[in-house]
Amino acid sequence: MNGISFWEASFLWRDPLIAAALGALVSSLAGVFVVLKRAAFVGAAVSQAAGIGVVGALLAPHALGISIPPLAAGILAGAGSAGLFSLSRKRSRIGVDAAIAIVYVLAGAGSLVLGSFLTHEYESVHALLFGDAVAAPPEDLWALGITAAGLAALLLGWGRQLLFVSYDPETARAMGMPVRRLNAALYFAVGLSIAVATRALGALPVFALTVAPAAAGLLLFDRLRAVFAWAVGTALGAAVLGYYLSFVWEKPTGATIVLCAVATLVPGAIRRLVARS
Amino acid sequence: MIASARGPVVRMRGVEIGHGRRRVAGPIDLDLAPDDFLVIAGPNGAGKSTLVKTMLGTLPPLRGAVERRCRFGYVPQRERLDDIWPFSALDVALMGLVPAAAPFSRATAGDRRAARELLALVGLEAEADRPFRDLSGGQQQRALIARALVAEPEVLMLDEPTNHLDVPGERAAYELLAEIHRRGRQAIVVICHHLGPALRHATRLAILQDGSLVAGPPDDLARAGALGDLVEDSFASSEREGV
Repeated sequence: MNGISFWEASFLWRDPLIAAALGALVSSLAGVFVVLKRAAFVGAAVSQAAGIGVVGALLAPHALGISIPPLAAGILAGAGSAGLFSLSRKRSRIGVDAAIAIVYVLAGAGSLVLGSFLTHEYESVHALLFGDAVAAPPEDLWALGITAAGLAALLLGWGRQLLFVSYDPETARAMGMPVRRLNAALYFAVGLSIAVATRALGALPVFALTVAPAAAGLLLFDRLRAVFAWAVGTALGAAVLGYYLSFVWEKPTGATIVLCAVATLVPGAIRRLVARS
Repeated sequence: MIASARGPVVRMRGVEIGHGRRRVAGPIDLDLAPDDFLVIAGPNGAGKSTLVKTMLGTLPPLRGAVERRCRFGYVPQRERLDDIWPFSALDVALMGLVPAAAPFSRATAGDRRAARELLALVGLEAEADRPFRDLSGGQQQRALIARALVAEPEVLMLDEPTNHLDVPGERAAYELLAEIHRRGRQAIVVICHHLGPALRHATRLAILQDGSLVAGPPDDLARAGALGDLVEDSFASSEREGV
């Protein structure tokens, strides 16, 4: 323990816990689409692309003489890179998985090379990108709240259309739907969600909350509604429980959230084992 | 060429089809009447799918004009659908209504009733709530046909609907299409390789080969020898099957 009880320390954890819950909400909602579209590593590529956005913004005053807010540049670069994945079709010569890998390595190497032109600011890139799971400034909470509201509105308003074009783009196109625009909107929203959540929670927890709860829901259920409910519910549970356990056990918060997120796979794994035996 | 007093629902004139700058076939003149059961056949790579995409409007013609006066229902090759998606047969059938759905709308009780009626029409009434991925290949094909019909299109297009089906499954699929055709609400366009069971029900046949298209009633094309080597094996196998 930290000398004071968890509840006595509520002034310490209230805002970070809200940030963790909102991050879990947007990550898990985006995660169901990410896993179903077999693009699980989109989160890793978005984080790298956000990095190059931040580095570019830090370089801009020196190279271009203009000032760009680094955090906004990082988030937009991350979301924009995800939007690019929509250009890659499932049956194209280069699939979505290869496009994600290319963005990942290109952004990673680009950040390092461009970062070498920076002197002192490069150290702040990591902090800008990945924030701190135990501290949540008000601007992070606002960004998360607005992103969560936007993502929820997109899914409530165009969820059926997004599901159709994701599941069967060929038929959707044949029936006159704007497949490319809908896919771009979906990937941009997924990228934005992951980039904003990563800023509040860190890359690894967001990656875990994106993939594990959605995969767990798919192992357990044959209905999409149930998969969404399980993914969102267990992601929220993993974020809150992980935060609580890290506090009382004095362990790293992000890693504890990751372990709790992975634990959501256990019921589905047991179900599959029982079904096979 | 035009078989109906209502006029063609799709009219192609001088159309060259292809991808980018690569011409696949043409020029093509083809009319699709509202009561046609058109079978498009040809060897692999002849451009059958390219022709259908050009008819649908998802691929622009390289040259010529395509007029469309209809809504399309489309049935893809079912193996292109990923089994990871947790949809029921009813969910899949309801997707047919999505292109016309307004933002923030939900499937209504009437939508569900219509989708269930079409699942019943294709023989899947009892399977409506089963996971789509757990259905057999033939059942999945039927669910996809129900999905294509739910929006009441004037033209139902199917891309190789009997791929990987056994002979009874193939025959059952064409009998279902014939039954849908007899209702008289849709023209039907089928791409296929195996002409045997398809020829039993087709009112018109279009052979795409060596960059050109020959179309007409199946008997006329057979008498004119237009089917050539392409369908000899199919006719032979049809006879063997007693079609």
